[in-house]
Amino acid sequence: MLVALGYRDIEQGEPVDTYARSKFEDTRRKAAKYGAMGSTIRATKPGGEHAD
Amino acid sequence: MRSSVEAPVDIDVLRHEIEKTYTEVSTEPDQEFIFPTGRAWAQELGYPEPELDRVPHASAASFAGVANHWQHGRVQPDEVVLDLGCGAGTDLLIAAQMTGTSGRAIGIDMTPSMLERARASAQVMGLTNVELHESLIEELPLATDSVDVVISNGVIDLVPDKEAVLTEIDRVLRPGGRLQLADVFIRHEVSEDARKRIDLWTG
Repeated sequence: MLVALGYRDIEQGEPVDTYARSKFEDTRRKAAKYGAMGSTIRATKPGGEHAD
Repeated sequence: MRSSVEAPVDIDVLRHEIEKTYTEVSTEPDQEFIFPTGRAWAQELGYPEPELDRVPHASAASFAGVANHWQHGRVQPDEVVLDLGCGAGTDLLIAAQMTGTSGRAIGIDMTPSMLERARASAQVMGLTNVELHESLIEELPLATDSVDVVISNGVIDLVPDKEAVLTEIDRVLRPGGRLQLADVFIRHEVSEDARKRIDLWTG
């Protein structure tokens, strides 16, 4: 959707195994089953001072 | 707000469960949750110092982020920052320190007890550039093109209608503004039955 809206300079961060830190075994197991990870994204909206 | 997507769960039930879970995070932060919480977790993620260190325990103890969006850059002085689902305010209060008195940090959350924590911590820190709103993030009480930076951590994954959230982010961001978000992503297919399980949404 960000690409479709023309966002630029899109960067994605490295995945973090957030739920591996859970104290609950069931949560760790479910997170592993679905591959649930934390991650980040940065993007700039088109327009403003920069040429698009 | 009426969602534009067919959600696999009852939206009102989901919101109630989310509010219940995050009220507990704000009022009983020392109990064990299924996700990591607290200042030590923010430090482990590499949250920016000295700004994190200055955030009062009452807020930092309720930190429930999933990754570190600050790795993509700091907020600059004078910028208007919007924190979607600001919770007890860790990210919001960090942003408020970075933007300074000539900027503004706006926090949006649907959980009153979280907002109260954020408000109290801002007062303790003497921050006068913090603004808080009780609202859904699919329906932002802000003007179009009014924000320089949108931040969020571990919140958008809780909302079934992500397109509505992104549409609102795009509306309030000024041209040339940026978003930096941390959230959960799923690498494996989730079955239709699993999508109907509230516990998988709130976790």
